[in-house]
Amino acid sequence: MDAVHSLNSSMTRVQESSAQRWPDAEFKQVFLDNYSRIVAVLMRLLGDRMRAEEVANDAFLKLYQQPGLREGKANISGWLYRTATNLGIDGLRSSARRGRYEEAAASDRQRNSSPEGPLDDLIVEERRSRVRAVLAAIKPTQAQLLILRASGLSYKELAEILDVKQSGIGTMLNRAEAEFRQCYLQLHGNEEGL
Amino acid sequence: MNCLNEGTIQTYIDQELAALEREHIERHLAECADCRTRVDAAARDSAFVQGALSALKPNATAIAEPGIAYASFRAAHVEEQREARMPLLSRWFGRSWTPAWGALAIALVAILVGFSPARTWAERLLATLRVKRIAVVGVDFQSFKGMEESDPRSYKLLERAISDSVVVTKRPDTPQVVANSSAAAQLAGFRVRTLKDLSGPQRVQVNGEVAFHMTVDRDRLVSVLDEIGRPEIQIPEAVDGATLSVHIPKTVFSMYGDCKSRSRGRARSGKDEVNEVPSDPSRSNCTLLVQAPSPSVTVPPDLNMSDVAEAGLQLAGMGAGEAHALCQTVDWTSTLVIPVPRDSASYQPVFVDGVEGTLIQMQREQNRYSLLWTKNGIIYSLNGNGTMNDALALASSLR
Repeated sequence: MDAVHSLNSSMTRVQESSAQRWPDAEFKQVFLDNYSRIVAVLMRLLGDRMRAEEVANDAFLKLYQQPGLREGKANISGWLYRTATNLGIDGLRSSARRGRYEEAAASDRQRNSSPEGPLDDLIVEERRSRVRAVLAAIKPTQAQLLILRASGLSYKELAEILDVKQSGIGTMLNRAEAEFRQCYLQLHGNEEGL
Repeated sequence: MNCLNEGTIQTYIDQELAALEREHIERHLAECADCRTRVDAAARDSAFVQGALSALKPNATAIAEPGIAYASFRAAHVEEQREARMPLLSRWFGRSWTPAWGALAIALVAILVGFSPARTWAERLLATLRVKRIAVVGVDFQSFKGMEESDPRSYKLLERAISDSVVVTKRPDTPQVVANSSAAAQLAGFRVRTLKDLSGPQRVQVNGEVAFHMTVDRDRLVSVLDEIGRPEIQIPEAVDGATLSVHIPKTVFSMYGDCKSRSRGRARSGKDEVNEVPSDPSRSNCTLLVQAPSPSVTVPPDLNMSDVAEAGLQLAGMGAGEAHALCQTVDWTSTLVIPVPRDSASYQPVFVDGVEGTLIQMQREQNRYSLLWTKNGIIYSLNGNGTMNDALALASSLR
């Protein structure tokens, strides 16, 4: 019970500490350093540049509202990656729930038309929406790990972003890949469809 | 060298091993056909997944130049917020809700984090869990810094989100002051012990039993976490709609020395009893002994509370990695986890009353300690002033 009492007073102390705010220059630097990478991961995840930029903005806004993160040992880039991919995966899942996949894929096609021609685009988009459906269906933490790895991050970077030991990443990826594979086969049948 | 585990195989396939380690493994593979087969199979599976994911690589589309993106971000959010926030802060930022928030956070953490169903119980419709152990963990309240800057309505949102989902089925009666320990035992229904080394107790109080159940609304929790600036915390999908029933039996508070009573506001949620301290433990010559039969918590048997626990611990201020690691080690079926802020208290395992317990020492309140243990289904908490030896000596006089 005393522990509870102490927690309360500790929290009061924390809240009594002086109000802080991000210094403009510092926040701007964080924004410039991270923006492109964050948007790139989100584009992979969401497939739509506008949506990716919106979600990235949301993540930066959340960071801006938490000036406390600049103090201490918080890894700001890691926090941004985590927050942005969480938001992205949530978005993906709610699109999947509403069955908006096909729609999103269609608008994606219009915006990102490639020189290979419309038929190739169609095949590529079909493949992408299958992959996204799987990412929306598996555990968010696993989807997060897979999308970050697919974006080219090393084990070391993943460990920093997710705040886990580097030695555990192999096992985590192994499980996430197994889950992805199983879910893919469940949703889309055998591997030939890919 | 032993055969390779899945994690090592994955790391090998992903070419993430250090050169030396890679050599070791290749040497092993050269002589172990079994592992070679496993690596080949894993490489095929991995190629399938990585191939699928690589399809997501965007067509070359220009991303907005960060400088331009920043300018529009700033125009949309930063300037407008600065103007809006300050008056709001002074209007909304009352102190009065602070303890309530603390209590709720603890209640949430204690209830959600403390228990998890045993998988072997899955054949039952519901699993009932009881506290057999207490684990004290250090948390870092630094992460709460900065929350004050954002709108304090967020705390209210969290409070409301929780209280809306709670249905109190047994409201506690007013705490009853009784003449002595045996009267307390009669009322509470378990053997109430006393400290032989101290005269008294001067006051014995029995808090009424409480029962409530709560149904988790995941979407709402997620949006509240968002509001309070913790969007990085993931709430597992599986908790959505899960109902937890909590029953807290009568609890006995024995006060020795000068423990001035103080009354506390009663929260609507019915969870006030979790936080209720009927005496002021910071008074130097007050010793408080709490005896509480284990609360029982009933949860759906298929709910994986280890995931929920991770979220709860993060909310309480533990780093994501540490929370993850801890959740792997704790037996969630029988452990009540109590988060303690690192910056104001230290804790260590001790041997007390014939079992393993935890001694928490407050750093800011000189000499203040709290000794926690469970024995025969009763949770004990002895709170007083003094050194570790004082605490243990006093505890050994329990009769």
